Amino acid sequence: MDALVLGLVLGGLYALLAQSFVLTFITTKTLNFAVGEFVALGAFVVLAVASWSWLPDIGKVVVGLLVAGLIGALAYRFLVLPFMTEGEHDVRWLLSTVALSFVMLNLITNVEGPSPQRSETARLGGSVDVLGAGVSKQQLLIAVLAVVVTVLLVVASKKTPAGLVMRAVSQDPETTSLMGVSPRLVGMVTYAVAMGIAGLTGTLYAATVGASPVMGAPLLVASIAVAVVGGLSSLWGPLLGGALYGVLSEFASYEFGAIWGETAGLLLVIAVLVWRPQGLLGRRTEVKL
Amino acid sequence: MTLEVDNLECGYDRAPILHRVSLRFDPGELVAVVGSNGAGKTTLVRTIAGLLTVRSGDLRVDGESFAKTSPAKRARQGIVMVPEGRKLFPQLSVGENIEIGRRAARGRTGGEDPVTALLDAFPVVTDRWNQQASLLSGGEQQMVALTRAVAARPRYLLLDEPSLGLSPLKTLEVFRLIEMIRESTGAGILLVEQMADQALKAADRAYVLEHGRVSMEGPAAQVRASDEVRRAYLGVAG
Amino acid sequence: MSILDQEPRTTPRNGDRTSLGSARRLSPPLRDGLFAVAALVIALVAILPGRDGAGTSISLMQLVGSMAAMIVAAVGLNLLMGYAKLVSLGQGGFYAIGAYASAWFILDAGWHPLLAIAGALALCGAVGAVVAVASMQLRGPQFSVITLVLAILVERILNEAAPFGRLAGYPNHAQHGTTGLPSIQIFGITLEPPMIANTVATVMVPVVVLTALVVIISRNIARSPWGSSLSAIGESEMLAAHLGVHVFRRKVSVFVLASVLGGLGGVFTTLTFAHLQPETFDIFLTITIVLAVVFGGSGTVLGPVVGAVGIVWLEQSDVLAEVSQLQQDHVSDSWYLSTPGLVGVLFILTLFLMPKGIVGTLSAAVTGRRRHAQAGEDDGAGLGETAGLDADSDAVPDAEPHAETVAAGQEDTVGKHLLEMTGLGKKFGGLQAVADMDLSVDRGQIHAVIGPNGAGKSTLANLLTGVYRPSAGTVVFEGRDITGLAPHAVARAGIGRTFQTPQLFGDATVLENVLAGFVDTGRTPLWAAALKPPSRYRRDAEMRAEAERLMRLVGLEQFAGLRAGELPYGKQRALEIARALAGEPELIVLDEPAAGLLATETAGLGDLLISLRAHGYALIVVEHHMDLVARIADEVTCMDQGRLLSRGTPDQVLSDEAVVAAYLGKPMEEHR
Repeated sequence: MDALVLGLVLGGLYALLAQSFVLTFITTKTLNFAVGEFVALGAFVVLAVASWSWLPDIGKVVVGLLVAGLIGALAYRFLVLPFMTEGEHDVRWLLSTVALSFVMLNLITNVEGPSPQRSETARLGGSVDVLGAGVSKQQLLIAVLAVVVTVLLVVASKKTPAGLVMRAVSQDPETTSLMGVSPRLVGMVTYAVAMGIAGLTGTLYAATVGASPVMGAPLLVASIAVAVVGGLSSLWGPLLGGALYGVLSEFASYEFGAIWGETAGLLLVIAVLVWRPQGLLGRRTEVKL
Repeated sequence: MTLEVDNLECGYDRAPILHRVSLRFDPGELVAVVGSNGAGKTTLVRTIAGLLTVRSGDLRVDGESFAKTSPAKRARQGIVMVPEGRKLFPQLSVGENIEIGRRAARGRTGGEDPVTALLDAFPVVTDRWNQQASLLSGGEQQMVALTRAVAARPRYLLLDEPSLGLSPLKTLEVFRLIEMIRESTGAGILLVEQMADQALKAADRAYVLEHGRVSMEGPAAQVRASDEVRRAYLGVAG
Repeated sequence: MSILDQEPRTTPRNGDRTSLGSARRLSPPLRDGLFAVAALVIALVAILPGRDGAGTSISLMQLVGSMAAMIVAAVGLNLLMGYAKLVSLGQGGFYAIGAYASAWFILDAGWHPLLAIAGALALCGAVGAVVAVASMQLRGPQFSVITLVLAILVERILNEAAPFGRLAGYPNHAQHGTTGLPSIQIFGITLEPPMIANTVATVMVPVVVLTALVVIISRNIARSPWGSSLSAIGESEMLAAHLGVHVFRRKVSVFVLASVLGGLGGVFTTLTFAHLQPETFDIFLTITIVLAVVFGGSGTVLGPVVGAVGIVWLEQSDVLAEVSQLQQDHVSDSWYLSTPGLVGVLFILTLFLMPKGIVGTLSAAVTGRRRHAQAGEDDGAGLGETAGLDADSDAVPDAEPHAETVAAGQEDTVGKHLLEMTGLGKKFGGLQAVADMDLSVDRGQIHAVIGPNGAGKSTLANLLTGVYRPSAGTVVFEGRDITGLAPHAVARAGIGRTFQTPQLFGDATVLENVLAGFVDTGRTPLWAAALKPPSRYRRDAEMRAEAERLMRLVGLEQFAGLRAGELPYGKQRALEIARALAGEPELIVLDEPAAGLLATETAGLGDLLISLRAHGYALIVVEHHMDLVARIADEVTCMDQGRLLSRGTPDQVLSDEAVVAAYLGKPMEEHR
């Protein structure tokens, strides 16, 4: 039972970051491999403004979010968009974001040093009893946030003009441009929001494990896996994927040891891909000829 | 207020499709461009809309060139295209599709909403307001696509083969709608059609495109009566 | 029956030599032999400094070992990424599996070294097969994502697995009492790694020789029809299928091949360093391999070699450290980039400035110069002037008079047509695109399909070649039921095709494009492509001779060495037709062949199709160009709204009022 609860909570963390992948994929059909570094970026920005006592904690988190978002938008404009010009087969943008992740990781390591630093901002101390399992409040906060953010995104996409535009761009960027909306701008905004979410994850996660340049790396694989399992074209996907992945790997870790936890996760991904390549909640895209 | 196409040359990669094509139309006019497939009609309209680049020649409105502006910007300036095959956003509802169209009209609103008149005349669109666009029939989709374009408050409306895939009866309805649009919005309409007969009946003036060149132009009735059109489609054997 | 049955020409024409390059070329076996010798010589020269085992040569030998490992891994990845355009970010994972598995089999399982290495490679292949099958249905980025996940996971497992000693490395003192793998013995010879001064690093010899062999084999593969099939897949899987390639199987095969080569790189690391630290097999490694391919030139034979050598040198040398120091001195103490960051910047710069990589950019510059020379010879003749009309040519006999051909083209067995389509229908969701279509065509016949836009003509063509499965009806070809067969099976059955826009390998030469059309592209087994037995050379020569004949037929023999992407549109069409002919079809489906052609080119196209008919080909031509249809078609089918509207001779159909109405849209009287 413990494993179930812990798995769900863990899955929540992955789901929050997975949302970042799903959001950019839905709208721009691209993914940002540097997302782990944006997590670290958010954490370190918060650390940098931690001494601004006139700013409440939540303000500091917002600053982290904004900086990550801004850099995310720029990354899309200059490192992704120029490398998408040759149609479906063009995967240069993929390599570009991987390179970006190297540069960012390296820079952050050189500036801040490799060791984790304590972060007190937005930190909920102590643990709480959930169905008999002891769960740290911070982790629970992150998991709850994953659900909240997902709901907000779904509501925004259905009820706001901006959400409408994003849905249109995801279905047909060319026709959207004929309707007076610049898909390029929409892409930048999407990346801003997605990287903002990544930065947010970082600020909260740092309170648990401390801020370090490599803090995002272990999250990267798991959140990609969660996004793929849930379905890269569905906003609800990360929650389902997170739950499944989290619970499965917790159980496997519990019964067989840590390595098996990760392997179980990978096997889940492979199984889903073979059986349903578009993910559990994803929609099969039509093959155009 | 004229939209001018001046000696346009363009095409895809190494295949030049249009050779020195010139035409013009004003707000309030309905001008037809007819020709068989491969003649370059869709290329022409896509270039005016901004989806293809101009190789040589110019595109102008009121004497000012717009050949280098983005499609989104052209739409915001009132040059609106309804693409071939309608291209409604499949997972959006009818109402949402029309809402997107309004984005192009930002900053140019004021006065009566041209969409209301259309909705009154063609209740089928209102009936289907909350339905997903992909579930509509071809004819219904065309109605919605035209309404969406009108929501964008076009000064120049480009229609790419609105009759495509529609039965003759549906095509009639669509042309009725087009006529209504012309009257109520005062926009200039460039109607690109393969169904030459109906297009020429509705239009004021016409151009015939053959192998990427304008082979004939003049008053629509005159073009319609000529042998030129039949020859352009079916060759001399007809 | 086909033109390929013609007697070969015995006297070469004047044009021949110039079309194949200005210098008389070396024969293929000689060229291949020279390359092989050069590769082996370079490999052995690289280890020459270590022949006496001097202490000073140890680090150089280790560097050579690293380079050899990277070369092999990059060559494997290049086949996957450069040719088939499958961007795998998992090569590092196979590298790690190869390294650790071979070490473990030797040390803990006590296997004979050769068995251990074979076992490690087999394991890589097996894992590769599983991953490939699981991920092949995914499109671009998702596929790459999965391979990345694999690589990272392998690294994590190795980092944390107790049997591999975790961070203490493998082997380590705690578990094995030593930090070095024992030197392996094969056939009585001890293969020493470059570790101890005054011991000759004998293991380097098999390492570099194997590396040279891998490069030689990769070159064989790249230049073989098997390699062409990869390029076809990279260009368009749809095209590859129409060339007779079983796309899924081929993709899995190349992935497994790349995995094995990645694993071999790992094996070389184990042999060279005799000790493994898990940190060296991180994501940085897999990215470095990708960078080696991109930087050197993906899609070229020497690209991965140049890239691998360059990257390894860059990482080991002090250059990057110095750049990093420069920044610290002049820019900022903390805001600077060190090796990984600089590699990232280098990557981005390469993508921006040199997307073809070193070898790719150089070779493009060289062919550019050659192209200028060729262009001067171009007299502007399009399809119109040379296709089938050349008076000198006796590869094309005079076309028989129309009536005779029609009579000769009638059913070859009583009551049976070459192709018989009955009741064919296709539904897409709710939309009935094609309904109840019948069509038949015989050898020596041209059947045109016309109809207004949206009538279903292209859908019909796609149904015929297997792109879509019919919802109803049957297609019988040469007496065989081919309904619902996949495109590659339809191609193998003898139906060729051209597309609305020519699907060519833009960067390959005209000759290479035609060669891709041969059945060998789908049929050549990998071992034959890799090892190039004499039968392969014979077949290559045959194919080349056939290709030249086909190029002459369509008027392209002067452009054999030109890049297909540089050809004018009309010639691209001709090339597509030549490629389709290379597959020895009985029937060719042409989808709007006249689209985009000038008037002279269209006339030439008509001549070509007529001469093909005279040779006994059956042609189905979907067209809009009525003059052409009237001129060449024996029978015309007009479609409207997915159904048959009218059928008959061109005269009959083009003057049928119903057809006119369908095109011009005259409304029915009742609706007025």
